Amino acid sequence: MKKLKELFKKNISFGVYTALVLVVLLIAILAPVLATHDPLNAPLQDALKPPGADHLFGTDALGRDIFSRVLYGTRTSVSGALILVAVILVLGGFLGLVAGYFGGKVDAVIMRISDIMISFPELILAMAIAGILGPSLINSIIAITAVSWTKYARMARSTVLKIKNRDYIAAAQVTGSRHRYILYKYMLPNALPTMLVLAVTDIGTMMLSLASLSFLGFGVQPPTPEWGYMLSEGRTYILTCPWMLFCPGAAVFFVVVVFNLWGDSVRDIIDPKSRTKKKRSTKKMNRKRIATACAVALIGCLAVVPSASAAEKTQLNVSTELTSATLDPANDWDSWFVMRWGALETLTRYADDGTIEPWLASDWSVSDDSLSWTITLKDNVTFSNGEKMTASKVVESIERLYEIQDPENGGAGNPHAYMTYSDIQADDEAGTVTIVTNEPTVDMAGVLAYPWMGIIDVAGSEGRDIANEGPICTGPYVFVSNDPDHDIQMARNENYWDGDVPFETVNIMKQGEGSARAMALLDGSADVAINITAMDRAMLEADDSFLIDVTAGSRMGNCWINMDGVLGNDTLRQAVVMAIDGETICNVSVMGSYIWCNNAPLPYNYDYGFDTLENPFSYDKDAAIALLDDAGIVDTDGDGYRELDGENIEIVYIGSNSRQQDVIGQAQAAQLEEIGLKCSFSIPESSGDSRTTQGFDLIYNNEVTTPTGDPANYLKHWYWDNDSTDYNYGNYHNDEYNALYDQLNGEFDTAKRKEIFTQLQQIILNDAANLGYGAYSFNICAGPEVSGVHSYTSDFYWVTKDITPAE
Amino acid sequence: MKGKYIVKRLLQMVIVLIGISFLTFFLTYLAPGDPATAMYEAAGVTPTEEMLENTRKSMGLDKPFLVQYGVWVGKCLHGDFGESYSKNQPVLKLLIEKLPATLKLALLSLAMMLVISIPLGIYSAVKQNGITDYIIRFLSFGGISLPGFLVGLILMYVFALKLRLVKVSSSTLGFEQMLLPAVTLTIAMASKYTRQVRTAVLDELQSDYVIGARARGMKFNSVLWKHILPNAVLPLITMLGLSFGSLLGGASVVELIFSYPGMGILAVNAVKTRDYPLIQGFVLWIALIYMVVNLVVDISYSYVDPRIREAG
Repeated sequence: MKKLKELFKKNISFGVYTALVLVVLLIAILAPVLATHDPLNAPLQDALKPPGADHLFGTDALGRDIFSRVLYGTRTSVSGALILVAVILVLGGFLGLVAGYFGGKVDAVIMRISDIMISFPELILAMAIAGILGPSLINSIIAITAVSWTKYARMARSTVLKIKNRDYIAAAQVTGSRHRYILYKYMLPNALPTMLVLAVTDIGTMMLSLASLSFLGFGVQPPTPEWGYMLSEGRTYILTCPWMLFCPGAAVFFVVVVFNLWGDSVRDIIDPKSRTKKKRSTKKMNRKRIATACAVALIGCLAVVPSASAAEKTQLNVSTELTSATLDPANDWDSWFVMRWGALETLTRYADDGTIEPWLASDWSVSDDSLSWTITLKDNVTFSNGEKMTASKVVESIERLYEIQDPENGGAGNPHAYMTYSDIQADDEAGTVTIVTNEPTVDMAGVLAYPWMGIIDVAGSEGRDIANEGPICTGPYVFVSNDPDHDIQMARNENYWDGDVPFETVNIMKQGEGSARAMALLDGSADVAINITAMDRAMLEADDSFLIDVTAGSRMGNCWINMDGVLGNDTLRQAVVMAIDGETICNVSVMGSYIWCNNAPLPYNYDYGFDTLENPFSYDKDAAIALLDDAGIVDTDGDGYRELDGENIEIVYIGSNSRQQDVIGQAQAAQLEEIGLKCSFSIPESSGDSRTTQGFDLIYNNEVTTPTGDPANYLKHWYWDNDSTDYNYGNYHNDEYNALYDQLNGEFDTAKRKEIFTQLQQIILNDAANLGYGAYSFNICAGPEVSGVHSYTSDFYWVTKDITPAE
Repeated sequence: MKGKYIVKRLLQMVIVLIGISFLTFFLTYLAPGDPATAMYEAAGVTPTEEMLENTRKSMGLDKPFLVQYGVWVGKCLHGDFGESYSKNQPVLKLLIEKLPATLKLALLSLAMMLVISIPLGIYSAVKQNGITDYIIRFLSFGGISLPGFLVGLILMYVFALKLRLVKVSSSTLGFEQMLLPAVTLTIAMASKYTRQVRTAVLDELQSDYVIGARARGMKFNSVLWKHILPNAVLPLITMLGLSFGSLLGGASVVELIFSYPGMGILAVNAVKTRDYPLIQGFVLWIALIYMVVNLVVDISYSYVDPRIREAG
């Protein structure tokens, strides 16, 4: 004890830093006492509050108290780093001791493996390992251990090699001591001090490595409070709620500094060689030279190239989150983008009110037997290569799609879901295309407007690498280069058929973060930004020069409910639906990015009878609790969660990061917890597996409900329970629904269809078979240098000929 | 002698590369989920059981592990790293495309780091325990304790958003777009190197030959520039090799924050979409570059340092 006192007295800095380390440890241990709020509790009405008396560090998007989360984050980070260092120390030390002591083959194998590990950038391998094993704290510890143990192994090995040939070791061996004994009794004590020093100085670094991994999304999973992940969550709100970044950021910094200082002071004591030596007097250096060097350094640092302002606007700069992997319109999703970038056009197009307008075609009509459609083409349309768009070319284009997508040719998608034709004929003289369908196709005009049906010059595109160079189309712009991770370059179509093309070039920049897109508008590097979060829009709104066009289209967010799982229980499912305060989530948590539709499957602003629907399970938390209590779904084992028939309920909720669905999912999960239902929310690398293997109770979905101007296909999702190729993921079944749905087949009367759509929605509501997020509101924002930007309800037209330089 | 050394190093490299290739292949082999499904998934397609069966056969997944590994290595040796699942493009092409951007960023930040850390390190050592020394030590200490992502976000917030001095978003790779990412990388590295240079110079300052030279009446400046600096800075070359290697692969965090179109983002996306061929190719590629760079560094080092040169 006296010795210890002396140690502290002699090393004041060590004493101070030790005290600081103890403070950090105390904070970690006492987090529950010190925290002012429950770090997981998400009262939505408090979302995004700036720091104040109630919330010292403010709140995050879910209304969680950041101060409390930072405190609890200390636990995660400190314990993570300590466990990590301990694991590395033990593993590296053990392997090093063994390698050094036994030598020979053992040594060779261990050291070669260590060579492999050491000749490798740390984060890369850690990322690969964490990515392959799946994201979690344990896996990131494994990953970092795998790349960091070598340093310790080498150190232990060299110590062993130094003392291995000493007499006392030989004596021990001769007297028959076991290897284990010698290793433990002689080798370990010799190697331990230097290794401990290394370990102590490594704690800070390890903490940073762990935080980096979880910042990238490969570490601790939400909702566990962890600083790295909190920072990456806060990144979305950098413009408007910087406290979400700076509070956890400051915490990481502080704790890492404390551990680094402490590590250094420990090293100074144990390893006096490195201790700062007494001041030596030195002559003054050549100040001039140093000053010059510093000046050069500063200039290097601060040089900021002034931005050149173009005199005339000839390039349109677009910032987007989404791009497609290929430019081949035969791929369903990709065709959307070929159209969005202004290259692809369709025979017809959607107007904002859902009706169908002419585009490349001027007119269409159906025969009396409802099977044969005649489409009249405009006669002035040319492709970008100057070729005239003839009826035969249109037929070739449609045939190409069906051929490529035919499962017999290895096609995966299925355009037959939109329409199946038995015959398609071109009449080049008359400029008409005749499509004969097997079954009455009510929404033919709408089908033709779907981007998949975009018209390309098949013969003219021959020899082109369509996936990367894009096809020959009729739109105002043509592809120059395509790098979907970075940018897509387009140029004016000199042969455009429909008037002047305003810009020489279009530069489409992929910017994954919503804030990055808002920033691109603000700093002038983008003229048009697709989809900016409501938070960032508020920032733009303060400045009149920005145009913000918001539309709620037919894209709906919702959850499939797995009827084969625990939520197959009617009472439980009804309570789940009633427990979710969707309106607050839409308006507060995601700030209007979704518009609440009271669980209706179809959007409120399309004409499908939204006003006549009645949701028997509207939000009512108390009623949800009462419902569960009455049904005997209560907590019997005192763990705070309800059980169903004595079995623990755990609702497995699979979410997604895109379109703020992570925020919604977490908010919903938190609300389920509030009524005593255990809900585990996670975001997998990819949801495909979980959907098909039924490894979920709730799984996110985000879909355009009326791709052809008609929601019948979308409503099939609650219907087709016999066909493995379709999408009834939740295995919902209701005979009444199925019978009603079948009536849609061949029904051309729009009023009658509307009535059926309304009734179908009502059945889904009555069965509590849909957990809605709301209608996704998308937007296009534009800077002051362009005009004519519009956000279409169909979400298919982004870059159009109507976007021009501002007057 | 020299030739022998290089041959020996090259042999070591081959062994290590074999090890790394085996490790990455084994890891992806162990990974949950089956590559055929993963391939369709990355392409956004829901496959039927029959399609899966065919793909598995054509991918050789029905063969034993070692055969699969052999086939894969054989292809890699011919420059065929396979086709990326998520991008439908040859892995090698993707990697080569992204290299220039990453290379530029790495070189710029290394250059900035050297320009900052060498003068500061020397100055701090020469003025040991002076006020400047304390400031430099304080700053460099802060620098190594700051996580890169925090530095990046703060720089972005202050310079791009509040002051609007720098445009971070652009599709052309100009100096302006590289500046903030480079500064972010530089801050951490410069802190580390400044401390390193300082310690090295301090060590030299206290060595006998310096005391001897000073005793013979040599001017301090000439001792500093002619003797101390070369000896103190030489060991940095090895460190530089290591830093360069990790910059080439490890700048993911910074690239992600600034949407910088380099290899780091490619790697993060590959891991997120479980694009196994791309992950494997990336890991091998980085390992190769890393080792070549370090080999070059070691060889050049042996030319520069007379002690090693003479020892052969």
